[in-house]
Amino acid sequence: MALRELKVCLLGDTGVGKSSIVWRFVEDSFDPNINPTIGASFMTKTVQYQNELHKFLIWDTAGQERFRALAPMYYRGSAAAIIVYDITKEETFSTLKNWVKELRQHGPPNIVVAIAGNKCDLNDVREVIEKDAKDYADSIHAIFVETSAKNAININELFIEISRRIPSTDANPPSSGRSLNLILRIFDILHENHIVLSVWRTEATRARGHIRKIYAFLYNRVRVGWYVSTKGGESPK
Amino acid sequence: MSLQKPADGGSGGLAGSPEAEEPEDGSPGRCLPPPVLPWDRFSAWLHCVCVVGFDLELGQAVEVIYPQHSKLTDKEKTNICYLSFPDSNSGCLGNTQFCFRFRQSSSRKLSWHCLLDQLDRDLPIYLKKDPAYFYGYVYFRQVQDKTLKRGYFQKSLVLISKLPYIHLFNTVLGQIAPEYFEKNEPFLEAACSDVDRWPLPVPGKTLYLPIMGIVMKVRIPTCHDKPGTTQVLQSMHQADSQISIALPTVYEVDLFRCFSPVFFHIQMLWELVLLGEPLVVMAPSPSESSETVLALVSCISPLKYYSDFRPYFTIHDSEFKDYTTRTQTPPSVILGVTNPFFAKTLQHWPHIIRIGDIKVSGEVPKQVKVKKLKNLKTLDSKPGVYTSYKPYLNKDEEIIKQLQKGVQQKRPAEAQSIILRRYFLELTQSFIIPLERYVASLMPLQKSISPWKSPPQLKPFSKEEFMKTLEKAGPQLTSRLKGDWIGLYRHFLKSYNFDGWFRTRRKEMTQKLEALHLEALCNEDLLFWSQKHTEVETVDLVLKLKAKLTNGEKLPVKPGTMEKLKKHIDSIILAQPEDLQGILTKTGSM
Repeated sequence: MALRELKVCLLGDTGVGKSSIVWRFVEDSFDPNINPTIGASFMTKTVQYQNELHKFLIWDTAGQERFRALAPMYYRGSAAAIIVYDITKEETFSTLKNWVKELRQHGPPNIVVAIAGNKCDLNDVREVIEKDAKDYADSIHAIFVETSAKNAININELFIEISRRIPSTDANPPSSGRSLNLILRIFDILHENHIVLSVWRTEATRARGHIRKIYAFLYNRVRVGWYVSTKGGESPK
Repeated sequence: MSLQKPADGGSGGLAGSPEAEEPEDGSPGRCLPPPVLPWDRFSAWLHCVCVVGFDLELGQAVEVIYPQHSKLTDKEKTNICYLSFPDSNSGCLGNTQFCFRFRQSSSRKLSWHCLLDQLDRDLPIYLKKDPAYFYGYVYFRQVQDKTLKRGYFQKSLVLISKLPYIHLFNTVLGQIAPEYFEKNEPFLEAACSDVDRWPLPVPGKTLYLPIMGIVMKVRIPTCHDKPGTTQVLQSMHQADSQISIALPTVYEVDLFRCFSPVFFHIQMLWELVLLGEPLVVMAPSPSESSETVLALVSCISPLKYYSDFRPYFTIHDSEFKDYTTRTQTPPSVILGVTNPFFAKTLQHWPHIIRIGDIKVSGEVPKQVKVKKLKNLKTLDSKPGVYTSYKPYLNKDEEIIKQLQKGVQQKRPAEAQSIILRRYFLELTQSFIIPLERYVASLMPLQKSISPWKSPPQLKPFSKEEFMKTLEKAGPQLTSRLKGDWIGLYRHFLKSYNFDGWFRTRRKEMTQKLEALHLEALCNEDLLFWSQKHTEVETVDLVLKLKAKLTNGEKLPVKPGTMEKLKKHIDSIILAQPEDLQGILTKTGSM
């Protein structure tokens, strides 16, 4: 099964529950007294989505203003951004709009944006009306959910929706993962035979050109058809 | 050579295929096990991070130390200050990265985290931590800034660490330093907090190290790796290269590029390093000096270079006087310097490497002769090796040709470096195998181990005996190189490198003997023995056994031996009168 690494970053005001959402998703636990994040923290979780494995590389950022300038490092190269606000605090929703603007201006062009209205278990003290937030999210084509990290509401759903919205790899040229894997194995054979190969760290596109030549070479000389086809199913042509 | 499936052999030098590995790991650096205290993980990698600036009144000064609780003595701070800045008028405009190594103050406690000692045990000998030294990894920026009084911004971000992982830390600095210079304090706090989430530097494992928005995949080698294999880690997709980068190595420098200015003399340089000869590298900037010194030190790998080496050394260093005084013969060290002043101070040194700017393309000069020392003028002599040393071995023209061909064919620098590294490795192994073989013969026979006597001693090392073995089992078996191998060995046996190597071997073998002895002892019926002997002798035996139980932790004994020993002790104690039992249980216990 193909594995894809998806970088996801969490943005939003301090105290809205970004880390709690991550903890709920990754560890399925909740701690009411979680430490404030310094800079950013990093966690991963691999989930199956259709016939792919999605490994989420989750960068959970600090909400304090003084760390604001660091945010581009975390959303740079991100496949998705989850912007979190607290439904019981109106001003956190205003901050969210600023994040959306910033992502538009400086973020990756195809970034999937998800808006999470956290603490939906505190409906009694709600300040942000769900419909307002939903309308805003629709206007910017963002995913929208109200979540509760405390009561595990909509957390997994949020990430499933992100998996769904991220363009599938089929749109891209055939997965280079397998080719690279193959090239590594071939490199290994050459290495064992003291042949120095000059392509093992080249980018995938160039490697694919080389790989056919090397493959043909090896297939003719050393009959390694069984060897290279064991993993990826790339059969000799 | 037979084809081998890397998946089952593991000898192919690949750290598992990404596909096979990823799904099961799921949790690199995910959650921290509870007993880890804040900064524990950080200090497994780094001692501290320093910012060194240039104060118009004071000169270089440490502006920030992070984390704030980290301790540096005043002497250490002074050394860091001078070593973090270029030392000559070579300019270094823009960004310069280099590394240095300095002696830690003697007042500092040498004890180290016991957990880290355990990690250290699995490292190849040349990567083991040297308790007396720190490394400093520097990112120096010097750019025009009209808003500042002197018109220049000059600052260094410095990582202080015990680990000799230049490639890793250079990558980290490349990732964090440019942003730090713009975003200051909160950035440093955030970067350090990332490092504090890294897994421990366990050799042999694929480690995922998140740093400021990217994830580095690294593997630290182990002493069990087959020498010469490169453990390549691979990124999954090209698209991921922005967010996760696989470092092909943590500690290696680009060997070919470093040696390219002195390309024709690589074999002579190998001899000089092997013999621990005093060497100085005079370079235009600290990045060239430090890389070249590290390349020199690593060219005798898997042998460890046992003398002191300083990738970048300045006239302000606290060892400057010791190393440059003319009243003594030059010390067995390798220094990398940039200050032209050294050309004068060190002109009595026997071997001087002078390099110009290292070209990125890895171009190599045409055939050049070794230069005479008297031709070394103080300031701007030509690049080359200045020495009157006559190599013991004949020159290997083949490696030179092979590399030259590579240059013509534009073979990538990585491939050239691999060829060169393999060449050095084979040369070093050819040299060391006869010594290994002879030293192994110093081990007493298994039958001489008696549980009732103390462990037998190793036979002493005899130079002449060893020389005799060379006739039949010398390096001619594995190397086609001709020349005065005997002379090379005679010289080597007097060097620090031999001394250090032999001490390490002797320790290992002595421990092996003790382990065999302990195993033999555990196979005896000790209870029966004690019943036939007097109480005094039994007490004596119990105390000795208890001492072995404490020391045995470090010995390479078969599994289960220590448990057996414990059972023996318990059963002997139980057979004693009650009052004695109490005393024996308490005394000498851990």
